[in-house]
Amino acid sequence: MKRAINFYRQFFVAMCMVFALQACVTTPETPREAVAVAEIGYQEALDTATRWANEGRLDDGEKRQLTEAFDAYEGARNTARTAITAHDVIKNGGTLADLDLATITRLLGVSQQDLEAAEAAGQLVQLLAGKADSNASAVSLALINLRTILAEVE
Amino acid sequence: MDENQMVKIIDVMLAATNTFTRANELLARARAGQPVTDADIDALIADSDAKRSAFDEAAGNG
Repeated sequence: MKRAINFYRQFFVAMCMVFALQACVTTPETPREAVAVAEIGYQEALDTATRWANEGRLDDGEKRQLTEAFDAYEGARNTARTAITAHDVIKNGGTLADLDLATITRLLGVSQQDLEAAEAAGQLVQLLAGKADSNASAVSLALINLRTILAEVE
Repeated sequence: MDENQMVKIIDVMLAATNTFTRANELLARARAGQPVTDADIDALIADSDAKRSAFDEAAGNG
C-alpha cells in the first residue's frame, strides 16, 4: 500500500510538472485546440502505460487505476466535444431543435460524472490558455447550456 | 526509490517532452493559418482508439 501511495505521489508530481510546462509554453486558444492538445497527451500516456504493462512494471491495482483514469478521460473528452458542438449551435442563435440527432443522442447519454470531469477539463483548458475570458471558456459556457438542455429534457 | 519507480518517472518525463513537442507543432500550424478542425480531432481520436486497444490487450482487460 505504501509503495502504491509513493508511486502515485511521484506520478502526480511528474504530471504537475507536465502541466506547468504546458502552461508556460503551450497555449491553446480555442476549445478545439485544447481538445487536440489533451488528446496528444492522452496518446503519450497510453503509449507509456502500454510499455509498462508489456514490461511487467504494473501490478493489478495499477492496471485497474490506469484503466479507470483512461475511461474517465475518454468520457470527459467526448462530453467536451459534444459541448463544443452544442455551443457552436447555440452561439449562432440556434436552439435544441437545431442540434442534429447524433448530438442530441450524445447529450442524453452524458452522465453526471462525465459532466463533472468535463467541467474540470474546461477549467484546465482555461488554465492552459492563461485567460479565463478567452475563447477557451466556450467549453464551460457550452456545459452550462448543456445542463439547461438536459434539465428541459428531463 | 527502486528501479521500477525510477523508470516510470523518466518515462513520464519523456511522455511530457513528446506531448510538448507535438502540441507545439500543432499549435504552430494553427498560428500559421491552418486551424484545428473536427476532422483533425477525429483523426487523433482514431489513433487514440488503436493505442487504447493496445493498452487494454497488454493490461489483460477483457
